[in-house]
Amino acid sequence: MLRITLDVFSGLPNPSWFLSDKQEADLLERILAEPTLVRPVFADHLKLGFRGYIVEVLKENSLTRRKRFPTYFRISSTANAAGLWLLHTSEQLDSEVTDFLREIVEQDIRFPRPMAAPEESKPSSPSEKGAGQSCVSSYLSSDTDFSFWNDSSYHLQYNNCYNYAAAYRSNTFAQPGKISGHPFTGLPSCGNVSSAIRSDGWFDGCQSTHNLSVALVIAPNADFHFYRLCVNGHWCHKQGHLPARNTDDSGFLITNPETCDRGPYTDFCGYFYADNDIMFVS
Amino acid sequence: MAILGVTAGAALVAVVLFASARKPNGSASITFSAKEARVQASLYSGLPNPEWTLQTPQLSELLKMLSELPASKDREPQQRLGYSGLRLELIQTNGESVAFRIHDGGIWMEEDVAVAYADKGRALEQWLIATAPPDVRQLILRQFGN
Repeated sequence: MLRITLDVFSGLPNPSWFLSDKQEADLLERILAEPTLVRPVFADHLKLGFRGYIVEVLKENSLTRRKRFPTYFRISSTANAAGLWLLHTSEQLDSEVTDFLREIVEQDIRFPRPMAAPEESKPSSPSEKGAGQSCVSSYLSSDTDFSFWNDSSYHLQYNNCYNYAAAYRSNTFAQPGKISGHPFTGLPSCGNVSSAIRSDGWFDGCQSTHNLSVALVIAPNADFHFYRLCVNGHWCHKQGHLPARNTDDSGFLITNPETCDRGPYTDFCGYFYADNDIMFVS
Repeated sequence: MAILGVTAGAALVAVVLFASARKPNGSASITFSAKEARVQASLYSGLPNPEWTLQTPQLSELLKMLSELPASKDREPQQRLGYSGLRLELIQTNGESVAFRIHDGGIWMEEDVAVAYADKGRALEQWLIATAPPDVRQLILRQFGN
């Protein structure tokens, strides 16, 4: 008896189901024909989204015994034909796998997400000052009162993380490098976004004359995001058109942007400083 | 209850749609009309998020769905980085707009999150995702559920 678990959620419990005898025989035949389908359970488990299937042999049969199948293994998310076939075995009465979820996973199998190039996915070293270090005369806004940003739909909608980092409500959904005429091009990376904000006037090093302290992070090949140091040693941020806040993805106050839960923004690029209490961005 | 009204001009057919909704506490209902509905996927923090406009038949269906949503007293949960739901903006006939955040099985009015509705099974969210252009839909589907 085989139990299949669809490894797809990060918060919710993953759905699982049992294979029929015929499906079980089919899967074992597929594995015999393509042994590389079998992966250790821990492989790929850190990816977001569809990560493959976890297979548990709950009761061995003659074939699993004879061929010495492992009893707990992963079918990789990159297993195209086998992955699609296994997905359809979830179409059972009272299945926890909805048609909608099946569609999502099928998309992921057919069109796997591109992985970041090694040099782009490797975070650059944080500044020597380390997490939470601020300039001596840092301009620190409230870590609890975000009414300046959250008071209206208009301000929410047209100011993003870069606006919040710059403490400047341009109402233009600001982009790094735009105001200085050197916007970054291509997919966001630590390299091109860092260059763009330097051209906007941000500095790498903390000096006593500098005032704003921000941290730049990247969701590889997808997006950029900023945190800004506020009072009480807390870092705050504004996610796109959503309200500014002081907590990370796990709901904790942010005391260290290097180690807080940043969801898909896995690349920590470093700290940047501005010689003013606001930075004009566009 | 959604009401559909049609005004025909020489070269223009204007479709004006109305939906009404009740505040969760059962006080005076909010009535708004919508000549257009824009949906924005909350995918990015820094880059502009993809958005699209519903077609007229979709707008009619949307307002019907909105009018039938049960009120909710749930507080809006914090949205996470990455895909974190949708922003729905209804442009009213007078040019004003009202926006909602749709995520985690609920719908919250952007300017007054005390006005909330339940989106059971994330049905409205999924329905709106289905109206997205194919490339946007694929981007969302890849992150949905995480």
